[in-house]
Amino acid sequence: MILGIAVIVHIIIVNITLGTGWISAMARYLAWSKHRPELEIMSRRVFKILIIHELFSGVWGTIITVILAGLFPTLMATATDILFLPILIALSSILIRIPSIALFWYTWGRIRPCLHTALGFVMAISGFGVPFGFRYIFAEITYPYALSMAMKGLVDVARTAVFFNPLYPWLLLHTWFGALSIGGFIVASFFAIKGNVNSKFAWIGLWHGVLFLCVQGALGPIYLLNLSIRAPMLYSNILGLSGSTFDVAPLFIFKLSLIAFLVVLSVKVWKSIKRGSGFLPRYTVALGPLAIMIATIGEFMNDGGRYPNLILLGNSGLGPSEFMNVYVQIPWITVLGVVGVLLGFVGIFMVTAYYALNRRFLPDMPGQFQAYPNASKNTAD
Amino acid sequence: MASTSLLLQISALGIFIHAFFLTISLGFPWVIGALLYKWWRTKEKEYYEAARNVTGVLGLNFALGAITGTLVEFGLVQAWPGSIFAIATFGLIPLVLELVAFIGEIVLLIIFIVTLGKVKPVGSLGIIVAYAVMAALSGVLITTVNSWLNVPWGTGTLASNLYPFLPQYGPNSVNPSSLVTLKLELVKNVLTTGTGSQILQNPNLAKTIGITLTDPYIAFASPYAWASALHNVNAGIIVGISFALVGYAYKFLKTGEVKYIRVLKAFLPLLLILLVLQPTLLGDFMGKTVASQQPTKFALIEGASNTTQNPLVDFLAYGDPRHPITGFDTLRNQCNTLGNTTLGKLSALAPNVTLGSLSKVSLKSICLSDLSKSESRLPLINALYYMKIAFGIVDLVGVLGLVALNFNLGPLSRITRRVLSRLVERKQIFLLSFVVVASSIFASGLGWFIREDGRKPWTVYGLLYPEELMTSVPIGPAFILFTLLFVAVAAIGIYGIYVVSTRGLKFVELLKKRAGVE
Repeated sequence: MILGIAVIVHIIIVNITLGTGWISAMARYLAWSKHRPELEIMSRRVFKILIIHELFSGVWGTIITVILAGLFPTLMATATDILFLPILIALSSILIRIPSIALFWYTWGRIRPCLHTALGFVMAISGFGVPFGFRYIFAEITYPYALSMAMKGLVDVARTAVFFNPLYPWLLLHTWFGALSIGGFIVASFFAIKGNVNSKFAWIGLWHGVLFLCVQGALGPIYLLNLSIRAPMLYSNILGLSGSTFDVAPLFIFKLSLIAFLVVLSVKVWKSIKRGSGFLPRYTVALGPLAIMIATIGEFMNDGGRYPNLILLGNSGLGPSEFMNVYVQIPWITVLGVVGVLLGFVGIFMVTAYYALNRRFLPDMPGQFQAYPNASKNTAD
Repeated sequence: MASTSLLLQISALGIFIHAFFLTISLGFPWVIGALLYKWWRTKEKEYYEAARNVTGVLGLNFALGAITGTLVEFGLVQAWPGSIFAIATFGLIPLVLELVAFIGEIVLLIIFIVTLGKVKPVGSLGIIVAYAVMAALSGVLITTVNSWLNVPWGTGTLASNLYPFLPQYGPNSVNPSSLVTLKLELVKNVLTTGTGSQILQNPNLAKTIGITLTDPYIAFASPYAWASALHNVNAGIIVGISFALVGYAYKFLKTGEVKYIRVLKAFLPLLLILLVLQPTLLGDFMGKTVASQQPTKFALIEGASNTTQNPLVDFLAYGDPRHPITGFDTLRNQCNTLGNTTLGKLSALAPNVTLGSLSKVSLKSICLSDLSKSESRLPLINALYYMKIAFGIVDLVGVLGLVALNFNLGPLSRITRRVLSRLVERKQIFLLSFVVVASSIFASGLGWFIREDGRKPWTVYGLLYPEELMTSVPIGPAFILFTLLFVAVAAIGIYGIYVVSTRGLKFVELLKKRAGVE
């Protein structure tokens, strides 16, 4: 449960940061190449959403690492061996991603625009490298293509075979386009918030969200079809078929309903917004949260849907107890207390983040214009 | 198979790079706090502007520190998967608690950044103090885990059974049978495959080892952990403040603007206090703990191939000027007390492990061999330790000189000005600040090196070797590329910090006009 909470919180935040990162970089590029400085303002505002969330998503990544190593040492030892290279890829991407985010923010206006634009793309693309590496782990625990070779003693072969897991490409594409779609809808919502309304910017977010949602319309079923072949237990659990071990079909139906609702809402906004020159309805605010809810349910089905197993082996699986820490009696009161405090910090963080965004505490312009409190009054746009 | 020494060097590089950023994360909140305090009391805007500028650097630095820290941590389990056992046992509670400190740091830093200038100075001061506490707590908890590797507190007499010169490490909170089973399985695997850590992947072996640790909080009871935490965190804060010091001294050198001196004076006394505390109280505590808990490291530090007398060192280390410094000769004699005991005797504690010919290996020969490996480091560790002490003295003298130049300390101020009279004031301040930052970096860097290298040939002192914990994955081009990337990102990050702290915003006004927001 603890691992599940950490993974889901992490993945929700990561989806937001990947999508908004891409849109911010694109807006920065267009601002520079098309000489449209208003897009630079958009880029910076969208980037604020990312900045607020990114470090936090990184923290949850660290939390997952500690939980895995501390509570599931056997699984962690296996992952760091068989999945050594994919993890290295993910780490390399994180290594580029986080400093480039900080550099993108703090060098705004301090370095040449073309260089800054390039930095924006480094920031955005490196973000996609993180799931590129880590999704190999999820593919392996759903369909242990390389792990099964390792279990037969072919460890060296398994370390390479991990890159050829047939479930992986669809899982990765589903993840990438999901993040891009969420980013678009979040941006549309952000620019529909009272005091921050901007039809033009919301329109850009909306078409991003809709475009990638359409792509997801194809990728989702393909991924599900792959599950039917590679992970029949998870497939059965998602669709509530006979032999299921944990029926998440009601959630699946709920998810499909939310997608339908999102599509209807998007169409209505699309018609009203008229490419940014029309009226922006208030309910546009709901698009982002809806997209996040859909992704959360999807991730829960993909991870929780394997219950009571942690690693699936076709129609059977291995439970978490196989990999649990048996070296120490885990002091659950302390561990759960810490999880409670962490969730408390999430709450504080969310309130602060949205209050800060709403009150524009992070400047649209770089810091010099905030050099003194009185000066900040002149920077409001 | 990976090369142990190459992996050790890569790990050390990662840790030193991370250390650069973490010192700023530890030290800058104190600088910001001092500036906010001055702003609060004087209402002078230059203190606010300076606090804002230092906050910008702290923000970028935090991102770099967090990322290098995460990668060092993840890299640790990647490159040294055997450490997963330590994380799952003795390190579990410190690392779980560290998550709170880490997340607290992030939340508080974000709150501080977005509210600075929007809330009263005293409010910002409160937030940055809370952040500083979280940053220090994070350092304390990570140091606690590292300290367990240095002194495996809670393993009782286990290590001293193998090496009679080692003391008892606290109460016995381990199941000896479990730990011996693990050790023997690691040894067997190292001999057959070259590495040992892959045995941790076997769920059946994990069940055979079973409950190893009975008190998961035991790492906190170690006196070595407390001494290290205080000593290391204080050292980190000193280095961090020194970076801010040299930054403002450089600005003063370049511009001659007195406001930079006023800013510098806001936190200079704090630096002096911390530097006085470091050797007198914290270093003394650390040194005494090393002398009592790590006899080989203490012998290396003091260059004691043979047992010797040095009344000053004896008094400082043992509180008794007649207590001899235990040299390697005495340690070797203690190995001889093992007599003809063999590994086979240990296997009685681990009946499930079949040792084969290994059972005939003499414990005395292992003890003597490991002592020789340790002693081979003596000239290096001895020289570096005394260099570290020298840098510490230079550091203290440098800060004293700066304080004497900037505050009226009577005769001390007059003497300092006379000594530096050949230089103009700008150069005096910069020269002393540069000496301070350079000497603090060298003193703390050498200190960490001695801490890590001085406990070799073990990774877990007296219990586990590096070979038993390292990855079985070959170190190929991908790993080397990753290391180079790590270094490149750190270098770009440092350059970014330089840009943020020095360069003005040339494009912003133009942008504002073109965007129609002004």
